[in-house]
Amino acid sequence: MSEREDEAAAIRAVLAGNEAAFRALYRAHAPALYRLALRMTGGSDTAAEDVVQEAWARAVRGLARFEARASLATWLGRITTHCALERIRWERRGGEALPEPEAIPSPGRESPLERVDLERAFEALPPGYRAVLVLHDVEGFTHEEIGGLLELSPGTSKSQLSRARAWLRRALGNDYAMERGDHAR
Amino acid sequence: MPDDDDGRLDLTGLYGERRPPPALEERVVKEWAHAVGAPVARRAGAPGWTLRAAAGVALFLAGWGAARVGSGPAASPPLAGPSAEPLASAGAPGRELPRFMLLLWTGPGFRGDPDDPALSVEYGAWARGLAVAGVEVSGEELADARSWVPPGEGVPEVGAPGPRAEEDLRLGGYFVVAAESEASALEIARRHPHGRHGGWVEVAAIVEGPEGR
Repeated sequence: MSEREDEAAAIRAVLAGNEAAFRALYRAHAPALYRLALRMTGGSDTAAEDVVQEAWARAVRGLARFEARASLATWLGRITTHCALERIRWERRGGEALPEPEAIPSPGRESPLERVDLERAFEALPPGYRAVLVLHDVEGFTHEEIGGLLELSPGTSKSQLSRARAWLRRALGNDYAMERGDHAR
Repeated sequence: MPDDDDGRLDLTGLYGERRPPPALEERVVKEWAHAVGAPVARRAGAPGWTLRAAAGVALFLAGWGAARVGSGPAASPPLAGPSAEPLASAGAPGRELPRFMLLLWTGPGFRGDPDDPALSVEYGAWARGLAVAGVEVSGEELADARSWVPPGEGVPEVGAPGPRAEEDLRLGGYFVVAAESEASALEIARRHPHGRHGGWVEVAAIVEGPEGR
């Protein structure tokens, strides 16, 4: 059976009330969705759990209408992204500005920078900037798509991406190897 | 394809080690079961009451002191629950009593609603009532996820239902109480609200070493 046929069989079993099938489906996709939610919400487990739970609730409601135009993973990722964006829109309702990178505590530049430094700097980004960065640099959305999702013009999305990247590099120091290689993704 | 690839940051490792907690799976499964009208297997159900009951214990421990070894019965406050006669479990001051473990099992006959806050209030009241009566009692929270190490040198089964899956029994939590005798411990267990909700309470004496605790 092809991957799409496997997915279709799994969906039929899930809709028929097969708990084992649903758990298998959940376990296959939940880790990636959780990481996506963490990135979108800035590393908060509480927020990521809320987002993922809501995403699965919506996915279950829409599963019967899933037409397999995209893979199930892609479809679930889109739903999770939308749920995270709803939360982000609420969080940034009062406007947002980039903080000064110097305001983020970090180890001395002579120390090797580690993952925790990236997480700390990433989490200091305002939610909107963080969302643009994740949607573009991790999820592969275009500025047109991001603009539609975040209710921004494509130009604003591009500008925020550029500023978020520059801000992160400045916060972490230019010695942090963050440039994306061919191996990534 | 993205239209601004130059200067892209590599964030693929960000939060790469974080995993969704097992409790999230149980919540999602419960929502799925509700949506499709499927029964949720009790063994897989979220024993949320365990956490809340443990929280109740923690609260009362904070208020009454964790160690009440042989501190003697309090003057008047009654035990919670319908059977409020005094217990003979609290020993003389300074004497260490035998301890018993009360294991709370849920099975197909369990009628309590894990999501009903009243259940945790009820369980917490039971523990608080024991403390007020001078009975040493403690409880610990058990995580939802279970893993099993099979006999021999088998490969550990992480997150598996384990050998009790067929029985549809699940250990939801436990308390440790000090009591004069097994009869007293059984009486304490009999008054636990878990039984009224259709759950089993297993009582086992804790084997103490020759030096005591």
